[in-house]
Amino acid sequence: MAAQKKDWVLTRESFEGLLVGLDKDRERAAKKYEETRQRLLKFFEWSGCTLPEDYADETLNRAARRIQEGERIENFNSYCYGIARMLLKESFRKKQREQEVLDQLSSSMENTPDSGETEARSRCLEECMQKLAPESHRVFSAYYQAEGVKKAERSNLAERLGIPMNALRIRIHRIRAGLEECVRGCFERWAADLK
Amino acid sequence: MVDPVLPEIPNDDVMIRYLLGELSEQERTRIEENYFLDPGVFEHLCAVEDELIDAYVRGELGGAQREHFEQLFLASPQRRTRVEFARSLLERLSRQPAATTKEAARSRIVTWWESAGVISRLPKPALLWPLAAVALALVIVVGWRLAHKETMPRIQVQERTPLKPPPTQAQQQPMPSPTPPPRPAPKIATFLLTPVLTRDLGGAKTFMIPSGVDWVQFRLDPEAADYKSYRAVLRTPEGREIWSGRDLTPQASTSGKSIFLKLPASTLTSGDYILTLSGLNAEGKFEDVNDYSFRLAKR
Repeated sequence: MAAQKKDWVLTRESFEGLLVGLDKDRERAAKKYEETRQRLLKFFEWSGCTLPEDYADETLNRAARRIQEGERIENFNSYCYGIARMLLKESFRKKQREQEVLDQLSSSMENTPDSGETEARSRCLEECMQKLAPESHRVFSAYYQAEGVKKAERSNLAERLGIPMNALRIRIHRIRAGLEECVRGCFERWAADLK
Repeated sequence: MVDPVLPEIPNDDVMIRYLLGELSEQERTRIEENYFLDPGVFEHLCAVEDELIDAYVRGELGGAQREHFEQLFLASPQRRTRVEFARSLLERLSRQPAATTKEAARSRIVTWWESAGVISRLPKPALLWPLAAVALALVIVVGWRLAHKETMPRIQVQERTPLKPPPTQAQQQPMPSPTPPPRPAPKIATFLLTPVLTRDLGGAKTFMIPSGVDWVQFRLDPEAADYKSYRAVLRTPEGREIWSGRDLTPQASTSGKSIFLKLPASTLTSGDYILTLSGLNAEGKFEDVNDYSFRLAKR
């Protein structure tokens, strides 16, 4: 059994099985899959894992395997959380090795001279800010300019927008997450062009 | 299998402690169960994480919180990238002219349309209002014309008024000098200083001064605000005086009474500083109240 588990590989068929298990509608299933994956990514990141993507993917692989083996899952998110916790315990043993690898990576990064990275990131941020929808740009700017001086102004902004403070914070978070993604993509393209 | 009944939603303080790894195993599990079950809690936690990163970049985290943050958030390249992004973002937004909440509140109308599902079937919001204005104008004009169709007079062409000849040299008046454009409002970066027990700069907070800032304002909340006036002296750890201010009086603030010091940003460079606050007693002598140690980093 242990050998079978180790040899198991996620195939297209098992992935489709996973999606069908999530929802009969493929688009809704893909959305649920992505939501769970985001939660797993953050869970591993917040738990101090240095390679959260690998752990998130491994968690989903294990869930897919169990579905393929016929296991019935009531709540996919909770089920994945259970697998993730187990994986985290397993990871503590590997953590020291990971840390050594990352320490080597970090030191090699520090020795690399700055090839205009900071400027590229600023340029990317500027480009991505321009791509924001006008109303998102306005709300985002007003929120951060309010926060810098008086936190009460954030509540004032929420009131004027007619939404609860928490809803505003989440809206800001979504805009910011989109910006981060945009900047990451822009920066990666810049780095690829350098090579 | 996790009980589908949601546990109590954690507040921001608990979420911050979770993100900084300061909770027990049991407390962590409770929060994790929560956000795996409830997408709202998950997004809330992500928003709190953004704010925590911003607080670090602004130098608002102190002591143990800053230490835990650096241990966790600067430990991996991906998380360091997030901190760098926050730094760039806050610096970029500090350079931008302040958006008023009124301007931002205009988006409320768009939000209402979005929720009504109308926006998806219409042109982009940027085009919506000009189009709506044109449509409304057309409706008014057509309606008015229909109402006044029988009684509308013929349009008469008026004779053009001849242009005035250009003034002669004798008549020319000196052009009034154009009004200079209003100077942009000075940019002020405000930092809250907390007193230290010793002058050891090892645990000092670091404040980032974004580029383009004209003034740096320090807010002090002295433990004893009983003096009518104060004096503040800013020095380097070696004792060199950088700035001093007298006759400082406490002002009402969100935390009761605060003293505000405003210095030109040009007088400050990156480095360590010690600020000594003294109060003027009834005998007319200054008594030391608090010392504040901190680091400044200028972009």
